[in-house]
Amino acid sequence: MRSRQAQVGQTANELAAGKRPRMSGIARKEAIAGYIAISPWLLGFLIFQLAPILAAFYISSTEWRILSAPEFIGVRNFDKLLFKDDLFWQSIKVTVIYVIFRVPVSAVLSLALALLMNQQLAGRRLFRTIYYLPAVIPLVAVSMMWIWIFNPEYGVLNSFIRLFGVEGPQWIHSSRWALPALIIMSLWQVGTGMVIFLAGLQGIPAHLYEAATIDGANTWQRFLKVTLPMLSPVVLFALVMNVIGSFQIFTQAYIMTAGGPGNATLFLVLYIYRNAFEWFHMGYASALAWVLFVVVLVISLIMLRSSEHWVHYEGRIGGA
Amino acid sequence: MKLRRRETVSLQLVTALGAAALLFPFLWMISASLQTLQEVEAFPPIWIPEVPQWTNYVEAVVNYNIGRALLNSAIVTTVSVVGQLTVCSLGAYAFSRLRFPGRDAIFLLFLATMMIPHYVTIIPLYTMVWSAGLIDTYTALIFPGLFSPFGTFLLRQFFNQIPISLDEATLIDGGNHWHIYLYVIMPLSRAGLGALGIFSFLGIWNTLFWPVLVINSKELFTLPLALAMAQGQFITLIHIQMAGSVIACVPVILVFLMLQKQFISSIALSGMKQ
Repeated sequence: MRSRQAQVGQTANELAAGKRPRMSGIARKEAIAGYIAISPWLLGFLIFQLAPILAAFYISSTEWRILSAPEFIGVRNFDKLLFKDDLFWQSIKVTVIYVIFRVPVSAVLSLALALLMNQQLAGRRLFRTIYYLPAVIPLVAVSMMWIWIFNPEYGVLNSFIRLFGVEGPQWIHSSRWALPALIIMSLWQVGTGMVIFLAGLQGIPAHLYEAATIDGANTWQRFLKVTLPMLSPVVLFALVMNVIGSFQIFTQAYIMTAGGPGNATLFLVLYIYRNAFEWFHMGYASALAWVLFVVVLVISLIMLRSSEHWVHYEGRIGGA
Repeated sequence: MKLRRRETVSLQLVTALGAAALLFPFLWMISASLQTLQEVEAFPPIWIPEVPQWTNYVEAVVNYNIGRALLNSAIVTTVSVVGQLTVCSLGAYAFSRLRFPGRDAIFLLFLATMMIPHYVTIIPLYTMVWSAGLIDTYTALIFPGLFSPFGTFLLRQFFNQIPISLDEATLIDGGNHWHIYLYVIMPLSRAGLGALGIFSFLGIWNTLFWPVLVINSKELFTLPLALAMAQGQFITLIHIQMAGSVIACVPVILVFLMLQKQFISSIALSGMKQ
């Protein structure tokens, strides 16, 4: 088989001879196979990814109630959402609060779990399975389960709280407690983070710990000076992924609270859903979707940029 | 890290307590699915039903559409996963192995769009499905999911790790590019294919957003949709809802227990779910 250099050389010769580069029989066969192999994917990519992205650009600059033709209105959708729509700001507020509480707490919890699972404990595999299980089952089933766990009258949570002689809150039926309730529920699914951290922990070479021990480091110092720096790239990855995922919370709010009470859980994706598919403001909903994308993009970029100060990459001299 | 005995015992205790706390909601769901309505609503909560009400499951399956939804979910998930693995592996093979004019330009375009999330494209996708008259069809449920950009990218990374000398050997032995795909690339990428398969199985089995948009009639409900609708319509029938939820969880849990190692590597690989 010809190497790439040979191909380049041949092309150069042909160019020097003033001919258009032509393919040899073998290369043509390869190209034909390539086009055939890529065509199902390419077709799907063009129809279901590229075309919708371009369309979403256009739609966001229109007023479109789906049954009539879209009407071009420039940036008026963005003007409306930024300056005239209180519900948009409510949805931003709710979503950001959810992300701010959920992401760090679940990171700490899943790191703690991963450290536990990395010890020589009896039944470690069984425990790992149990901890991970809530993360794989359907979110709809999880939501159905938690609706009743949070039930103020006969739910198990408030029954438990009553054991201490206190009456528990109204949880998802209270505008004050609905958001905290969904954050608590999300922590039930820390298994995903645990698995990612565990893979990271198992990649830390044992000799680093041995060297630290010889230097007299205790458990806590080894954690601070070996585990955390070595794990920091994984931490960054997990945090960014969790931020991206958390901004897209929808199912729980759709099923458990319908955005309420009093818009207390009107997350941004739910608000997009309402605009597009309940009120059929396709243009406005598209504008909202782009805003969500930009918000998530900017936050991810800030996290990546800040990582230069706290993520340690092996093989780079001097840290930072 | 070596730990002292006392530390080990207390860590073991913490682990067990945490696991018990996590299992709590599961146990409650299973227990409630076997109770009568009076028992579910009793205070203090009853954990062991007097007589296990297996008929709750029969009722959920027969009278509350869960049986049909289970069948629909099985069909949609199977076709989608198999289709996605085929389409994505062929695409990834072309990107990783075959040289043809325009390949790198397509790949760049593809990378540029990979950042754009689903909720941006979902509005145009919905209008497309709607104007094509495909609302309320299996096609609408299955088709848009077949061309996962993420899957193509993931498999390409796997394929790139396979030595090119194996391709050359196949060609010298008189094989063609399809032989390379079938007998070299695919068998050597089982881990990657397994990871993508599990990842898309979870995603498609569990998803609610897209079915909510494109399906209206009961006959085409997937399990998450059927459960969500039951929550709205039979809001007081907790025991039936819990039986339905258990039914939705069982296939995922079975697959998880069977393929645990691959599951874990697939999550560690992709780092995300949903």
